[in-house]
Amino acid sequence: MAPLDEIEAAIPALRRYAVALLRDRDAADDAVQGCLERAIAHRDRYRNEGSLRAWLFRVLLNVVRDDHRYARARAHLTIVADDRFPGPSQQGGQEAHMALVEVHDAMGRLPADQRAALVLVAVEGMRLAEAADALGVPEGTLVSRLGRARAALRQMTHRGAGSDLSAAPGLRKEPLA
Amino acid sequence: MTDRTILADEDLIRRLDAFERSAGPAPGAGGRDAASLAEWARQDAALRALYGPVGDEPVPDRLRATVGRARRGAATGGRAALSRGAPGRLAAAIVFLAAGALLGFAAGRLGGPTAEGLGLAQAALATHRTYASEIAHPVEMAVAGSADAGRLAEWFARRLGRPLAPPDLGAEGFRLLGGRVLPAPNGAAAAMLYEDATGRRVTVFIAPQPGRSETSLRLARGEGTEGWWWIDRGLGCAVVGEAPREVLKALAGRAYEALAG
Repeated sequence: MAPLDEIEAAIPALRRYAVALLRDRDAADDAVQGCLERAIAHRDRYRNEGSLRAWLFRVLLNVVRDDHRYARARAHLTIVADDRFPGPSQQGGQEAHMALVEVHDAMGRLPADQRAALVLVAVEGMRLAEAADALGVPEGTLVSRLGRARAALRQMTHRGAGSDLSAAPGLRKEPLA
Repeated sequence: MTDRTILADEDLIRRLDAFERSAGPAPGAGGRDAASLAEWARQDAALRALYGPVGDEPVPDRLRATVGRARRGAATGGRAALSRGAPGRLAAAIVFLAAGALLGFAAGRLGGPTAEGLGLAQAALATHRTYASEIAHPVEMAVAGSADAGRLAEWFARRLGRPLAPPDLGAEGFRLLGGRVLPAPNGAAAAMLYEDATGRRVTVFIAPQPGRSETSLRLARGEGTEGWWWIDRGLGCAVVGEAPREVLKALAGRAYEALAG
């Protein structure tokens, strides 16, 4: 049984993940709400196998995949321009701001499964085993997604050898499903 | 990007992970590894700058309240709350019981809907939010055919103390999945869950409101769910769910006719 205190403590991380996945603040909080309701209703199913955080992230991902209400947000994943991003530009100048905008845009063009994998490792700092658990995929699949995500991001932000965006691997526009 | 580059990257990802959990040597002492690690560190820093601040914001009240309701439900219910479905049921009941007290003051000041009506609407919304997203047990008694619908009607009649047949919303494309009985201030409430071909779910929530004056059809909204409610001849009814407002209104009209007929 997952303790309510630990579920509550995970809300900030769940919101961070949902915003990165959905790129829409309101849709993200709706998804977190759905995740909390489902996790609380099914908390007897959490059996201390793997981390509670990974279990909660898996529930959140399922909520996003199951719920047709996020279809609109998903459909716009690749073209949405949210002017509330990027948030923190105070520590950098215009150049840093532009770099963040570029990364945010590049994240929007990543396939959803690659984006989800990269956020877990880069932002949440999860080890491979935990991130694979959170995504419900084998570790090898996760590593493959991470590799493709990092290579695509590098090319899209013009840091790689080539800047031809169409050459970036896995750059298909597809919904989060 | 060659296959060899991809394999090298994947290998580096594994070695970096091993190092970070103290299970391997530090990777990337030079050459290509070092360049990749530096690039990945820049990517991680940018991603943390983009998405990290969301985690530092205050948690919205509605999310905190979701856990709070469950905590109060678990405390009130004790061991009984551990049985399947009970936490959600308790949460819905507590919302129902508390909503009148909490919202009555505001409603009175606004001269708007009655506290009882708001309690009804809040309970309907909470019930829908709690159960409609359930995969395994969205209803307590499932309905697969007309015989089941009859059994559900008998169950509701027994528990609510009055005849109550689930409205047929087939003309609007919604099929009855089943229902459940919930605790309510006036004994028991009935919740019926419907679903259309696209998986949209709608809850019809009915609770006796003895002695309450009749109301017109009123809009209820809360936490991303909305719907319509009314009180007619001592029976409070709400139709809430995941459909557009006009569709919900049509469903409410159909339910009203069925219940009044």
